[in-house]
Amino acid sequence: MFKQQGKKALNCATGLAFYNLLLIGVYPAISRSKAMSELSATLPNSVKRIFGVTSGSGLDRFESYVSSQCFGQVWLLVMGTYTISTADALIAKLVDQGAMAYLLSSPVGRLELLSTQVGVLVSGLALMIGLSEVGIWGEMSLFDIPIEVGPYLRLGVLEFALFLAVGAYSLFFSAMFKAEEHAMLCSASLTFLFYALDVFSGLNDQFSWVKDLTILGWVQPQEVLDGAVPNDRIVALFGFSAIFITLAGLIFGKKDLHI
Amino acid sequence: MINVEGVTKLYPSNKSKTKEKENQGVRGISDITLRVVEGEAFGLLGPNGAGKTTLIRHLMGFIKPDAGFAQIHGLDCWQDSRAVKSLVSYLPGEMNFFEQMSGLEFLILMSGMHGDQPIFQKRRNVLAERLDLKLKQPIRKMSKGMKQKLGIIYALMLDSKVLILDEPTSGLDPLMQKVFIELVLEEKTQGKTILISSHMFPEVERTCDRVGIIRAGELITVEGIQKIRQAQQQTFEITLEDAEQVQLLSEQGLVITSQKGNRLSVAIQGDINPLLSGLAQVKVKEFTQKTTELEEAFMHFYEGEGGI
Repeated sequence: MFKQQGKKALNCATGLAFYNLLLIGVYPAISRSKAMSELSATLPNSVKRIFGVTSGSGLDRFESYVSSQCFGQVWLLVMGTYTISTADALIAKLVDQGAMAYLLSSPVGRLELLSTQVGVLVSGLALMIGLSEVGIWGEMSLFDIPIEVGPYLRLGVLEFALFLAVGAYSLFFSAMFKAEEHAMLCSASLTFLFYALDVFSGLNDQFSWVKDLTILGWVQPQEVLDGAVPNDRIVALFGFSAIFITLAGLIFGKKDLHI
Repeated sequence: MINVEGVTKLYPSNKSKTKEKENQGVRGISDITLRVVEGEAFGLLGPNGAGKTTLIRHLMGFIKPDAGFAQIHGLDCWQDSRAVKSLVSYLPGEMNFFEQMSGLEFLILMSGMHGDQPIFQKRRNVLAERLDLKLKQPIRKMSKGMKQKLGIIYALMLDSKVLILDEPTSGLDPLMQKVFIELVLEEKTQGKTILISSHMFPEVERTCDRVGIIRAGELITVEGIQKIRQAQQQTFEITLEDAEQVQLLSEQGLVITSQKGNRLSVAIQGDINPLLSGLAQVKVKEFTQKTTELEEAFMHFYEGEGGI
């Protein structure tokens, strides 16, 4: 199972690494560009917020640039798509297509099987995020951009916790629905809702409290790269994941499987 | 070995819209009781949608019965499903594999999940040779029949005490159907308990000791193959010399199902002597017995129980 999903993770991570290589490659030119400094200075904070810049600084700072570009919308989209589709493929797709009948015809319990699938999801996410981080470090050393490794490691753990949470509720929907497309629809809709709330919370200071209602709002890459230690958020996201994985186990352990 | 006691599982039909229709629109299985003793081969016959696969899903612990219970070797199929599955080899009715794998990778994966005993590999290679399947081929490139062979290899390589085979010859060509029947008969001689679900009669007729006929979720009857064969209606095609002979035979009180010129079809239920007595009085040009298989006996049983 990991062999199949791992290949997908490796392909996505390689694609992201090349994308980041491109972004980091143009950073020295951007940071020296006066026009870019002026442009980023004139952008309202709400707009910068949408692009992942949270401390009011310009896009010409490397931390702002990395958080807005390397861990920005494209990265979120690829990671979100990978996480949701993998969670869907690990249970709902196998049940819907009938291949789960072979796995469950063996003397392996349903919870044991679910634990294996969670392991596949976790290792895939670790591979994706690990390769993204290693890629960024490698590319930064390639272009002689000095960085502190600690904050990047903390960000990696926080992003891992975030996507584990996305994977956990996606697994929950995957275990709950009979049809694969229903599971996928619910997972994607909830993720989009979280994203929309995160964007909405940045539009105006009056709505900043909305940030706490969405797990995407719990992850502010630039704050972490600037030195914040987000242990409480990491613990909260792991707790969130544990709840949904437990619920997925309760449902999958007892549901009728028409396979 | 296999004990099904009053198993009921009802699903409201999705198509039912009014309340009145809802009461009628229920599908599933209702109050099914049957026993398969150790070493016996049992056939579960019925048309598509009759409830055969639903009953098998209960035996595999995939679904929980609304009422009743299913046991294999004294173990509850729902509560003790893990222990049950260590005794059972299962061939699903739908051949949906992991398309990205090769046949060999799939069998290695499943061997590992079943405890990876050395005999699995030995049996796998012998079965692949007998069924003429190249295991290194990617599953996504396999035809339906090849996938069916792969499923059969999976089910038989495990050397389990109980075989549950859902529509096992679906998609196989006649030659491979024959090989499959030989394989099942070999398993039977080793004392294995076999349950075969099918709507294809020859495989059940040739392999099973008893047959359960299932229709609209209910087990209509369980009979020995011999009894069904005896009860079956035999049809004879007789061509006589002239119309006078035809008239003479017609007066013997036989059931003539069709007549074209001097050619008659006579149906006999049970005792054949009235036909022989009648034939002794006429000049016969041609006499043939129409081959009747379990299918006709099955149809006869259905008709006897109120028609289909």
